[in-house]
Amino acid sequence: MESSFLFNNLILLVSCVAVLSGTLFPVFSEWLSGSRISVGKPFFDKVNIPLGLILLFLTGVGPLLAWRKTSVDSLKRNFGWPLVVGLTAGAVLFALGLREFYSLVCLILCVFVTSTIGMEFFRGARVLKARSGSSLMTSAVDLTMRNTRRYGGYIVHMGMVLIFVGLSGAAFNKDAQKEMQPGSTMTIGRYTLLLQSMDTKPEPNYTSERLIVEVMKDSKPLMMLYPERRYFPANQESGTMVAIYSTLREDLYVVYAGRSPDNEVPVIHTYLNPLVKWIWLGGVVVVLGTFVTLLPNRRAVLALSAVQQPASAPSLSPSLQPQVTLREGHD
Amino acid sequence: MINRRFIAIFNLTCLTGMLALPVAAQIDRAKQIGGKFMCMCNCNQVLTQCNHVGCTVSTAMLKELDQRLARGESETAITQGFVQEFGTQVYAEPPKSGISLVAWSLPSIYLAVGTALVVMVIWRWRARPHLRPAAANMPAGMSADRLEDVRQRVARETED
Repeated sequence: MESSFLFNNLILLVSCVAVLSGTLFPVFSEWLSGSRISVGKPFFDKVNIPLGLILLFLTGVGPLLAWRKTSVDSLKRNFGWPLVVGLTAGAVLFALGLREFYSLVCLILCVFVTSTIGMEFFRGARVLKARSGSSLMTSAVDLTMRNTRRYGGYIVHMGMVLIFVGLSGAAFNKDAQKEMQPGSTMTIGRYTLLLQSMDTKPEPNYTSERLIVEVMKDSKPLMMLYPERRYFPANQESGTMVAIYSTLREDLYVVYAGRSPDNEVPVIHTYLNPLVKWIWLGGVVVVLGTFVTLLPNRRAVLALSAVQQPASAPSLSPSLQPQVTLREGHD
Repeated sequence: MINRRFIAIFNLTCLTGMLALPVAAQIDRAKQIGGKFMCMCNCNQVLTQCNHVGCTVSTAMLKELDQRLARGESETAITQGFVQEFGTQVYAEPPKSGISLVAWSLPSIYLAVGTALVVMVIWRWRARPHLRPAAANMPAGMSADRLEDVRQRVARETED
């Protein structure tokens, strides 16, 4: 348990220092050899993706290792099923045609971590359900409120899992660029974009040039998108307003990139990025989990309210006195 | 008649496929090799991902890459050619040779040194003798053995 905490911090630290040294390497290479060697996205991807996956693995493993009493038996009991579920999910994804190594490993780990967190909630809620007779969901909420730091932490971990699911989609990003006359189409993934027309609209501080694009999915009309390019005459600059169609499965971005310098025809650049919404969703869950961890434990609140009862208040009979004490929950 | 037409269509399909395969392979290879270079228009993006409309630099670089691939040049020869033309700043990631090896090996070194330190700390923790509770902190009327029994029971009952 203690070692998993240390390794967790080690991985974060290594990742941080690796990014720092990669960022500073061009300066050092120029200083040492006289030629500047640039370090771009591929380097940082290669270094940080494995570290991120190790971190994700520790996210699932760390919290379930018992403090100072982890044994082989407890490891089997806690991780046996999640491991089986994760590997089965991996086999299914592989059979469905997922061949990107890092995405596959990432999704296997996501299923593994989700299973460990789910089992942790289930075990605790089942004990409370047996005692109180309430439903499993009510018991899970009760469990969370009894130890907000522990179970809020699990919710934060779940948010991280959602973020990693979103990141795993990056391996399947697509993009396409095309010069398009009104009436022409372009295809990206399941979507076909038809440029219907374009208009120009003067605004108080900029002039907007807007494309009217019809989006069709699997050859059926889906929606209209209006990518824009705004020109600000005061500072002689222009900016793009990206039109977005976002679903849980994928995001479609349509950018009016400008006019071709050769023939003044509008150029549309489209991006199809899978699972982006999961990253946002994960962020929301992380914030929610953080709020839960900030809540006081239910027992502590009861104990405090008992202590703060005014002295003049009529005392209850001994049998009705709250039998609670202020205790720190296990974390 | 039908058989002849079928054979003609089959032959045409095979021929188209045979011609299309090397082209598709070359496009894939161009994408793969182009992903190892930076666009030199100062946009700080990878060559195959430069999204500037009318970027003459990336267009010229991609064209040159296609021409070199069409001539059958190896990846090493193409890389050398680009480095000679644009300098070492054209690398999207440092080459795995010379001084650039330092950039690649540093993360592994950090990880190895950090792991060694963590293992050392854990080893010292494990070697440390378990502290017995001080007599002053013992509950009144409870022997040390009884307290140990209670501890073990608590450990058993909170195992999960």
